[in-house]
Amino acid sequence: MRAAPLFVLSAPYSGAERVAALLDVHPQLCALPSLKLFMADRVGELLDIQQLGQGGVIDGLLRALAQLKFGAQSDGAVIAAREWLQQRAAEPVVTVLDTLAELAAPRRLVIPDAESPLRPNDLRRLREQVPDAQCIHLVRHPWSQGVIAADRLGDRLFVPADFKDHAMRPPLLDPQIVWLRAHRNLLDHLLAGLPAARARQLRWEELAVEPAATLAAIFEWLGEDRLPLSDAALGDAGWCFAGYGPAEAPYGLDHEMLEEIPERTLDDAFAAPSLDRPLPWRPDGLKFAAPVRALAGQFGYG
Amino acid sequence: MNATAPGRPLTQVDFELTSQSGFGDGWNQYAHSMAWFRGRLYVGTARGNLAALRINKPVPDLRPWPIECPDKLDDIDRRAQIWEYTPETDSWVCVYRAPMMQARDGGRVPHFLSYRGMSVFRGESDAAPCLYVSTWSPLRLGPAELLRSEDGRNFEIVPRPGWSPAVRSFRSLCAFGGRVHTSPISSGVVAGQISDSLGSDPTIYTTADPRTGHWVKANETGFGNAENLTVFEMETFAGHLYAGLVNARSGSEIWKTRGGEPPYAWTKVLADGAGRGPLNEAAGAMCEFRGALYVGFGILNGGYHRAMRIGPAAAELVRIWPDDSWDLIMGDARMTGQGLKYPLSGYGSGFDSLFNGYVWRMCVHEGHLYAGTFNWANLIPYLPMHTWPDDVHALLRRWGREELLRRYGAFELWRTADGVHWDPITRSGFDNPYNWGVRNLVSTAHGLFVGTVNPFGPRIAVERSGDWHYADNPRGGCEVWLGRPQTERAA
Repeated sequence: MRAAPLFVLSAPYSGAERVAALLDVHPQLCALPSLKLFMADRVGELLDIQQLGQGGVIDGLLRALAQLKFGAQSDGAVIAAREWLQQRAAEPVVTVLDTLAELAAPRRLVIPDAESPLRPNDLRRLREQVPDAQCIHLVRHPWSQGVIAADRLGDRLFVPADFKDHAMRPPLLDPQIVWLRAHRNLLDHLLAGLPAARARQLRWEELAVEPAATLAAIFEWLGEDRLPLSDAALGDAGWCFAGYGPAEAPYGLDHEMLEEIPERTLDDAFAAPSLDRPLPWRPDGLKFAAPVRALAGQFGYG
Repeated sequence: MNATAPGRPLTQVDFELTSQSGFGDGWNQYAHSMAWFRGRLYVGTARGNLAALRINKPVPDLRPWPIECPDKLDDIDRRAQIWEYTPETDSWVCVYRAPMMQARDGGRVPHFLSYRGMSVFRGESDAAPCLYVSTWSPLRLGPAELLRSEDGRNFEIVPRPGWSPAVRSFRSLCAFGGRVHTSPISSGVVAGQISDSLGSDPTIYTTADPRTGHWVKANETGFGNAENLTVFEMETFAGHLYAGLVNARSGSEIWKTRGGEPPYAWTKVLADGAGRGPLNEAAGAMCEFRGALYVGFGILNGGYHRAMRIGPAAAELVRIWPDDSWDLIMGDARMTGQGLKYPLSGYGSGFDSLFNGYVWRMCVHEGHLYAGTFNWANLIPYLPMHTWPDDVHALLRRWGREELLRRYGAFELWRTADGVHWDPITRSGFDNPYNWGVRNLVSTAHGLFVGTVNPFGPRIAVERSGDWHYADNPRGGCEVWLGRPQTERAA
């Protein structure tokens, strides 16, 4: 019997993959890139999404399979992983998760996921297909998340419609929309009613300030062995999925894990996050919407 | 079945075709109205719609024209029909066909081109509930008439509201507070310039006795806003009558009333197309489900109102609560007068498809809400795509045109048990690429009936080796499907 996978669930641009990478320091845990498994019922649909979508939607899944099943993150291994998936096109996506869990055993899977929280149907798949999942609900101050997202998306030609305020013409990038949407979906459609042993909240800022102590608390909650940890020694450099993958599947990670974020952006994001100032990514001087402020307050942000 | 314990949800395999090819005549292109009456299903057709569209202004730029049409529209038999289905015998019979009439110009024209709405209602002088049918009259005759039937076989004209001779058709026949309510939905006085979805009179007319026809006005014209062009749909919810309007300038409005003695006192529920402006030009399908009123918004003419230069854009779905607060269920996130709204279902407009121009009809069946769309993807082969932007071409190349049409080239039918989690039953018109839209949904003890719009008959333009020619289309013409669990069907 496989160990229950641990999901790190968050809004986009909230650092889910970095949290997963930090958890990977524990020898009993195996962190994967973003799999985006629950966008579809069956493997074949995931492959369709990969073919039709932009930005290598399931690159993370391909990299994970390449590494765990075919032994390396090389172009050849990614091609083999893709063929392996094609042969299982009719199977439910959870069979892929089960295979990855078997391959990782006795280590337990840690899966960052900032995609499923955007859609109730994806969360339903997660809930129904992985009924024993443990969940970390990762939150980040909406100001910090917004600055990081705007830095990434502000000059992109393709910005998902989900990230935009469509009351503006043309629609305007506003990351608070997906922040609210993801967290409300998580609270309303997945985490409500889960016992404390199955779900806990984690504020990104706590991990950033005291990584060793915060990780130790998470390991204890997970029931894993204690580790000698020090803040200085923690990082994602040792994670086998850190950075870009091979040409056949380069992505699968948030841009925070792929590129250096400019120092000025980091300052803007984290130095003095506020719920009351005009949003720097909006030209109209608007501040956070009331439900964003209320939920951020509930998460302990001021 | 109570609302908290929905029955078994229907999937595509639960649906079987009860009638195809326009009841054997591809000119029956719209299952334009449907009602359950005295243990039978009644379907009113509209005929030759795509042929009529060819002479309207502005003419859609379709090359070649998707179906073969005679040079003269009058050469098509456009006498609208009413069909009756008996579930026990699985049999259809045509119970009424519009008579030919002498037109003002001396020619002969069908009295009715379509039956656009049906409602079962018992007026004050009716001995029992009767089937009332709203009609569509040709330009060369007087305005649209109201039909009444006591038995589903014999239909008589009863007095209509005293509206303008320009009124060509009306649709909604909404019973509320012991009265029936309707409003003009299309109008025109000049050949080729008839709007099929804009009336000349944004007024609701009501009577307690359609048989004797003492119709009175139920609202101030346009609810006092000259930009409210048409009362598009009506529905009852939480002790009120709701009216959904067309407004091409600022977006649809929705009003409600508790009724009483007409004209009623009305309250504005929602304006400016729920903050989307003219992209939510019209409030279409409305349906009560689990304590809220679900409303489909969209742009007239299938999501692209050419005359008003609105769109193209896909439909949205909103739910309104009795206190007038509302949620965006499916659509585009935005700041609104009621705060930040994002799609609770996770689906963007059109259920993530630009081609879904309307949520055309909704219906509650055994505890689930079903929503059917109008989808224009199947016009792609005939559209002047050389004028489209490069990025759209790139997207189509990535998809592959044939693959796109195979998978998503026809109407979509969705369902939900809670209003938030929506699942598709079909995204391909029950695998008939010519099924343009779900025009009617009727819940019965025998199952859920789905009446389609399919204007791609009787003969369709097909391309072979770069040349176009017309060929018979055995799957052209409206269809009626019946959805019930396979196990029940076998029994």
